[in-house]
Amino acid sequence: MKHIVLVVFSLLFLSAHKIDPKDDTKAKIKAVYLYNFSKYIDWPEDYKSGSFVVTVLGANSSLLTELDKMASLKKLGNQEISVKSISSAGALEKSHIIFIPFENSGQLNEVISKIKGNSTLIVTEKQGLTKQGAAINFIVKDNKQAFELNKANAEHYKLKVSSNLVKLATLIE
Amino acid sequence: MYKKIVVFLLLSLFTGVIYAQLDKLRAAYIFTTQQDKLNLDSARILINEASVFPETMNDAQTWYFRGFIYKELFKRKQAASREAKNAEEAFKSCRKSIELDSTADNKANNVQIIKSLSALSNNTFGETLDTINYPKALECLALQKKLVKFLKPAASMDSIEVNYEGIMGSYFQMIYEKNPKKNTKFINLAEEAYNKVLILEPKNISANYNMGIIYYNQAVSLIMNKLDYDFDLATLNDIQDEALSWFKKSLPYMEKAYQLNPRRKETLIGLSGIYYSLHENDKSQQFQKLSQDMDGQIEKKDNQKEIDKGNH
Repeated sequence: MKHIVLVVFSLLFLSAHKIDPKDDTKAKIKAVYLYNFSKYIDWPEDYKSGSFVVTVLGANSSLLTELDKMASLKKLGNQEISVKSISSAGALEKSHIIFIPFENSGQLNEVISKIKGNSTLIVTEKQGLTKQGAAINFIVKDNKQAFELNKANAEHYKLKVSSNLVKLATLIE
Repeated sequence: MYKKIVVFLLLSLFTGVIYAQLDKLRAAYIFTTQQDKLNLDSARILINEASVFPETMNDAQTWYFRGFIYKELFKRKQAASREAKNAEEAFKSCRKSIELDSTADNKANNVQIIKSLSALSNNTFGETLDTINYPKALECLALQKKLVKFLKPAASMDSIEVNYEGIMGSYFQMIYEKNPKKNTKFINLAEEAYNKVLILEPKNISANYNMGIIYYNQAVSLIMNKLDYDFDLATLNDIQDEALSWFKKSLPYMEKAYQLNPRRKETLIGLSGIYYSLHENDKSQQFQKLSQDMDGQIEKKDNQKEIDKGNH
């Protein structure tokens, strides 16, 4: 028995411990950012009741998993967080935040036309999109997740951005 | 068999030249035999007195006997309670016996005891490698190194140490991975063990790979378990900095493991994961593709085997 134990550990050493592909650190960081954005941005009064809706365009499964976890743990004031996934911009309904992953960046214009007069924070992750209508764009700075902010694009949708968020962002005009 | 030897040796002691000086010892011996079993504690007192009497202290048999008794003292307890100091005394005594009488017979008898000690020490190492008794395993590892060095002077001590430290590292790492929150200290022990391996054998693939995994998992654990949604953006930034330093620490070890064996799938997955976390997506995808290609090759081989089987 004891010899078996040693052999097993020898094999363990020679084979390998593995990384767990389920742990998507980037998704977790983005989820924390999105939760923070919701705290640093003020939505108009008519958005302060009912659920706080975060919509993801596409099936980014690891981000959706993280957002679902967040929704199950957190509230924004009295608002429950509701996470939705849509396959195309056409399916977008009233949301507080719409996140457009890199691979769906091409649908930004469609999203903008769908939002019209609603107060939706558009968050993207492709360089240059804050100049095309996104309020916040995830960027990578020194191997870390960071974000750009186009304050005017946020205000266009009647969203008030806290000065604390402005301080931490790379500002785009 | 051992008991017979002990009785024989005890009788030799009491019927030999030291008889007169050892009245007390004889009384003790009679006591042990009255119990109809070997009383090791009494035997230890006897032999320790014999080992300092001028008439017997330079007798190889005294030291051989002492080695035997201390080996039995080491053996008599359950693994977790075994005292390495008894094994050390046994080993020291056998060496002294050989020193006093280097004839083949005496050497063989003593080597036999040392071999038993080595087997016992090895077994104790295996049996005590758990979250509670691991210090005993470490103790036995130190002992085992000395014993093997004596028994196999030509063997590479480095490779023996690499093997044991690798086992220890892997075990501690496994314990940590089972419950990172509860078993934090084990990751440091694993790191320490792998570092010892890498000092002796810088090109050890497993140790390089596992060090890479340890640091990678530290970063992942920081983000997945310690990063709370309530943390503000400044704290999030600090945590990213700390995680980044772990990812960067992990990379050279994983790269080294890759250089040493570019066809090891776990390493390809590891590198893909590290580069992904460092936001270096092109490199991450490159290693992911290599890993997937390897899957394809394995599948192809398996299919060919099936075809070959069918043809036979």
